[in-house]
Amino acid sequence: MSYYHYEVTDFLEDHYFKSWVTAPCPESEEFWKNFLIRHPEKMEQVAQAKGILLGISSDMEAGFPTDGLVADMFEEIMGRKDRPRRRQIGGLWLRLGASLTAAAVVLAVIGWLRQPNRHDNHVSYHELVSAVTEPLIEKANNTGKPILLTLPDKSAILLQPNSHVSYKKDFMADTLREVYLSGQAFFTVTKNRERPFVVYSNELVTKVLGTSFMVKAFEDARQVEVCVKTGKVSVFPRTDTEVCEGIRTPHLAGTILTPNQKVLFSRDQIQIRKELVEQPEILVSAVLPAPLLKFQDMPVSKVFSNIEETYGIDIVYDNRSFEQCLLTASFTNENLYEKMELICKGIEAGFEVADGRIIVSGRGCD
Amino acid sequence: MQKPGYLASSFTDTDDRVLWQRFRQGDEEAFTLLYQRYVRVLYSYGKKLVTEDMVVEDLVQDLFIDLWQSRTRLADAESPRFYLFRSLRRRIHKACNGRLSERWEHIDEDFLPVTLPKESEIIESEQFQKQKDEIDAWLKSLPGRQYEVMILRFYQDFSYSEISEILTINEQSVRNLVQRAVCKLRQLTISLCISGLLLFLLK
Repeated sequence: MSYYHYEVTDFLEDHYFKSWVTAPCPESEEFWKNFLIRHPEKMEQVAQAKGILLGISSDMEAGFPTDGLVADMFEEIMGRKDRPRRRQIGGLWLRLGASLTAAAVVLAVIGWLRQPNRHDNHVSYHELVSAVTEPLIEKANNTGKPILLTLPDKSAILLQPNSHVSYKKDFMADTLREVYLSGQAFFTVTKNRERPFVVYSNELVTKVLGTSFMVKAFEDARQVEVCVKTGKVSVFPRTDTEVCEGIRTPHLAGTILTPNQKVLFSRDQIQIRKELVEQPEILVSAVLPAPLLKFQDMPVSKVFSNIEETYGIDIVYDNRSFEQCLLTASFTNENLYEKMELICKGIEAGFEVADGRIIVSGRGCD
Repeated sequence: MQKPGYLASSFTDTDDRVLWQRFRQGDEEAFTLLYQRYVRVLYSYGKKLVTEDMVVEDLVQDLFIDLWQSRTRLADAESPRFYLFRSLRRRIHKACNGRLSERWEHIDEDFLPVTLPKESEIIESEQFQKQKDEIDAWLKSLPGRQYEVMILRFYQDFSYSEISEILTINEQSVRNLVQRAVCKLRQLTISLCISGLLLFLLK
């Protein structure tokens, strides 16, 4: 077939054309130059096809990981590739190992319970701190206002009144950046994949690589609370030995929290519950679409997915019953729940928040 | 003009198949080579679908770890590249727990969350810059799914049937997505100044 009859898509599909664009050689340069001199009317199509190929490839290359990241990821892969996968019982040895670990935990718990004056499984800040052998630096906030602390790795801690933090004097010496907290603090952690940042608060462990989040863990409270503002955070009870083993790796296990989510850890039941924060905020990001402000006759699924993206949360609903629903509305400065209320009113539905997600139910529109 | 080093066509499928065979027999060097060969495009592709860098990192790492651990059970795949892309795509789908399908697969009008390079070595003249800006604007305005198909078809050189398997949609839908994407560009660049084109093409 002659190139003269080609449209943009035909050029894109053509091997010879593609090889000229991606790896031109003298022959192909000559060929296409002559072609265009003979058929200048095809110039626009050729230009578009060429532009598309180059545009996509430069966009893809802009997303390539840095060499450092490629090497880091490879190291992580090589380190983990021969380790048995989690949640997979493979053979007698592993099972035996698991029961031995369980036995060790039972023994440890018995030992714990035998200590005088101990009626529960609570771990206090002082117990955590006294178990550390290296010298520690302790900061306390006995004022009425929050105080700002900076760690040697440039991470920041906003420490609330009646709260303490401790960390090793030689903070940067270990592969883990460890902080012990009693009370409430907001952490803004400098990203460092090689040195996971870990906060021990009562019985709960929070692990991050670089992000910002709040931990509330007062000694006499029944719950520990962790809220995420940016990035990804992993939380797990100290008793989760499986996750604790992998604490030094950049891998995040346990319960994973993303922005606008929080967990409540019940200290008595050793139970983690995921929820949304009280006042979910629109995520600040250049790559996410803008929040919808005004729309007319828009399928409700589109409105929901815009909210999902801009707040980074999940909305669960039955797509079949709501697919006919069209919505016209405009938002000004409503918060997430006010927006959901308006939308649900429009489609005669109700919503509830459970397990960190919003669940919408109703008859739908026909 | 600099030749892009990671285009699919830079490697022949025969090369890949030899590597794949060696890798399945437990050859770490072959595994390393496969990783080096594909980690960049896989990562970049993943980033088009998932905005969080760390999630993409985890998914790509897990992909290779699982690949190694299940090497003896793997079939004599015709194209390791296809296997890797399909597997990563499924992982992303699973990790996003259906959220991706809402945002990436059904929505046609939304803006594509991509960042485009500000500068590139291929920019060599003002005219070219103008053309390039238009293309960039176009890429930005393409709905996610259409752009994904363009990447798989024209950057990774997958066949329509391979793409339909990667995305688990039928082949005709893949063709339609490509057509729609190209159509959109045509509308956008109809006003292009023709005088600049010759320069752009014959640089």
